[in-house]
Amino acid sequence: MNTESAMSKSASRDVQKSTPENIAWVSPRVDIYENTEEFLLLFDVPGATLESVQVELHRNELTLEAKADIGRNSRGYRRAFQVPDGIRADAVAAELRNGILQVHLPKSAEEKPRKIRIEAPN
Amino acid sequence: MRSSWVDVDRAFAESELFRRQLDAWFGGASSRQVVRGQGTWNALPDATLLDEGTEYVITAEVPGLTPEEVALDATASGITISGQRKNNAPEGYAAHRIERSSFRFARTLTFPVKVDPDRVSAEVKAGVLTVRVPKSAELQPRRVAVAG
Repeated sequence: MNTESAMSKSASRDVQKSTPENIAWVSPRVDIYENTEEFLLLFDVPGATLESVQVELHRNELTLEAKADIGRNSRGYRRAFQVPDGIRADAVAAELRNGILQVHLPKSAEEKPRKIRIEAPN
Repeated sequence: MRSSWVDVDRAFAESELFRRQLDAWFGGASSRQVVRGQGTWNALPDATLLDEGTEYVITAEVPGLTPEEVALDATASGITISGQRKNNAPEGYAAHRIERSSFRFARTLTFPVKVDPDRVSAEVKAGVLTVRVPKSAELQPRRVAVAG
């Protein structure tokens, strides 16, 4: 039994110790929220390492990519969205905590609602 | 207005299914057992059980959970893992899309051999729970001196 598990251990190391093509790529689940200031995206990316996370906004396309080691398995997360106009690309921010990636997409001034003052003529 | 929040690569969403198939195949080819919830994510997070020889190693995906939100009970025959992720919608936002659900799970794993509940260890890191369950010391092989 010991021999058997030792064998399968080395076999799975060969298969799964990660050259990039051995990564299983998945599409992470996402929640998308909006308020007057920004769009907020929450991705479930368990095991993702900070240094592997890439968030890119190019024209109107937002791309997320990250890599994770879960036990002996290597996994990649990848997802891309068409985003609305009027996002300040230079102010996009992201944070990773407890396996959740938060991406903030602030709206440009023109996209934010403005209060219109109504003047009553006297 | 141009429609937004469209997944750019629709085909990619299918890869989740593909991963599950792969996992199933690899599960058959090695000592690994893949333990999955019945049908829904809510039933149980994705988890893997490995027999490492002297110990069992359980890995479960629990994104968003802190160590305080996971409970672990161990006996000589098995362990029970439980936890809950509450609905964590940020306040003051309207939702465009909700795929991440709150979840709650409780799962008892029994092992075919006796384990040592006092030496079970667990950690939650980056949304991944790892539990190490050492097999009972009585089961560890001992070298016996042979008299000549």
